[in-house]
Amino acid sequence: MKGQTSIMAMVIAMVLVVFIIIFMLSSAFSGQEDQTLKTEFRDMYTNNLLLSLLATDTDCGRFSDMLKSEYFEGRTCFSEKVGAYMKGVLNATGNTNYAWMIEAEPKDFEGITKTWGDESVTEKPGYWDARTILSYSGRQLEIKLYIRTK
Amino acid sequence: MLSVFQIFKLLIGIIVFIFIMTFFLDITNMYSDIGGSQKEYAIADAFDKTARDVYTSGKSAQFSGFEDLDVLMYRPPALLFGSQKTLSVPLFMIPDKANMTLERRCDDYGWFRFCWILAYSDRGVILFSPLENTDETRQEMENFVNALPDAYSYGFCNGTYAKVSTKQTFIGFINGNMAASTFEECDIEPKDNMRIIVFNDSEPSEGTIVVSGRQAKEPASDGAKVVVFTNADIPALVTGGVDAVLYRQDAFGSELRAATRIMLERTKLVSQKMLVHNAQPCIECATPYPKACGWVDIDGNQKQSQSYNDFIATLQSLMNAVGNGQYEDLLRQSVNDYENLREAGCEI
Amino acid sequence: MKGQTAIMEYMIFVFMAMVIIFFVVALIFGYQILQGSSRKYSAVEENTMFALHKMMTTPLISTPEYQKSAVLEDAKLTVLTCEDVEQLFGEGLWVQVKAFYEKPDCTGIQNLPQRLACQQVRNDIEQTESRECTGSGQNDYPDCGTWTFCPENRKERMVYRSLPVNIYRKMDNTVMLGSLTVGVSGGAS
Repeated sequence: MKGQTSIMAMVIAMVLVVFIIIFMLSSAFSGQEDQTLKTEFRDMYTNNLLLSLLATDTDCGRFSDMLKSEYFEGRTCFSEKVGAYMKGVLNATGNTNYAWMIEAEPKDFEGITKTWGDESVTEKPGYWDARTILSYSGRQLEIKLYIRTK
Repeated sequence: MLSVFQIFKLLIGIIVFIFIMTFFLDITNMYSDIGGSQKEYAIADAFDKTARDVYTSGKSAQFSGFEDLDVLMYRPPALLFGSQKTLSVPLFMIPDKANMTLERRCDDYGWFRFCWILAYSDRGVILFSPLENTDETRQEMENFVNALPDAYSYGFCNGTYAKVSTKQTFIGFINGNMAASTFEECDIEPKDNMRIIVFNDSEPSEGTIVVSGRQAKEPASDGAKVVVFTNADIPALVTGGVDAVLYRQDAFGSELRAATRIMLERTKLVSQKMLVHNAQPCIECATPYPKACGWVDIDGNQKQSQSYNDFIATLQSLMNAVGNGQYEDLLRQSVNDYENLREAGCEI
Repeated sequence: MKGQTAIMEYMIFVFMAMVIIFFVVALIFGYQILQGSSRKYSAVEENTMFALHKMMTTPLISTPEYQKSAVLEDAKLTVLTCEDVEQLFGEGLWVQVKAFYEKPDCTGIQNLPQRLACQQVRNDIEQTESRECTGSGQNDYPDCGTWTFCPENRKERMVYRSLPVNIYRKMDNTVMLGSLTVGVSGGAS
């Protein structure tokens, strides 16, 4: 009777050990991607997206010039073209599930903040961003790009 | 008196105990080795990553991980620390366990650029032994000092006496009182963070680099190691000696060869396609290049650009010359040709 | 009989204890192996990042004036070979650069002939976009928008990363938007 109880205890202990192994295996597999690298890549992606977009030429001019002329002079080339280009490049880089927003905010003068894209991107945490400055007649405009997964 | 069963249990227990203890001792032994070298590998990896980041971004960075290493040596491109790691980018340094600054330096040739990393601490000491104290030697010493970091200390080794100062003070002395000084053969024991450069045509002794004209020599087991160097090779020569210069020249040559091939094919393609592109009637397009790339009209139907032809010819010769190492003049020529193309409006 | 049963029970007891010890040791080993493979995966990710950084900043394929951002020159890409990519950026890489061409939106056009004409223009642009510029595709340059290097059949555990870049069109002196995708095989060090 005592021997049988011991054996039962052994079996229970073995089952517990097996469960612990399964638990540790699953946590080891899910932790495979290094968080630092993920963040580094995402920052590089967002930064590249903003700078590349602004440096792109179209039949209406360069995106950076179009943005400035829309903000300061009311022309609409930027609004007309930015959606198609953002969609195109997000698709080409395999990120069809990204939502984006571009914001132009005055840095050293009084003025309004203009936005393009999906304004709900910044409503919840979990988005990432990139920034740059555009100059126009001595005034500086801070351009921010926000991205999140839909 | 123990029963048979009790003896049996005792024996089984001893056997199992021995088995378990042997097993665990083996594992802990294995892991103490791995644990130790894992840490060293992690330090080497971190240094390599820092070097890579500096190489691609151009922004300087600090690295202080070497203080945890027992052994540190550098034979470019291998970092030696008990084991070894080949670095991903060309890097030159006087190995030091103190805090290191990594900065990117580039040799810029307009259409071609070769970048590398210089890693240095503020404990580096560069001693000169100008046994031939001539104008040429002083000029060469100034070349050497200007090519090296401000953080190093610079000075003379005169017999058993060595005095160091800052870079600016030392350059001031070279251009001032040095001409009137005489120097005896350097007779001090070189330390790890120290480099002794001797200017004359003697055989090198242990721990020194002898420079004569554009030739540098270091002692080797079977005579002396010799290399012909240029100004661009000076940081490699001082930090890593003849072997570092040979590594740098090899890396430079390899990248120049690839760059020349790409640029040659690309320029042939561009000059050929521009002919076609510009000849086609353009209804809505604006003139792509402001100065129309200096086309020379030959027979009214065909246009050629002498600037492109010159550049292509130089690159072709450079391709052939890189193989035998005699490419300095052609490289300089290619820089001029490329500049002509920019002035003609063919390149931005 | 009772003695034999006691010995048997004891043997089973010892056997179970050994099995538990074995499982515990396997757990320790297994976890270390998994950590090791996780580190190896990180190393592959780091190699990919480095290859991307290097490609975007090297003057060998980028345009000198535009080196602040990643602007690759189309003519240089067109003459680049797989051997160049391996020598300059690392072995075991697969690389693709694609230019993004603006296309007309034909969905809002009611008039059928106009919609068909719009669709034709769209198709032509899509064809140009997907036309390969490298290798024998050099003849089509600059009417092509894709540059692919090295065979993708080394697909075994490839890690892919894609970034937005600019592509400088040498013939037109204009800058296009595009993507740079790098695949690094998981087995490469």
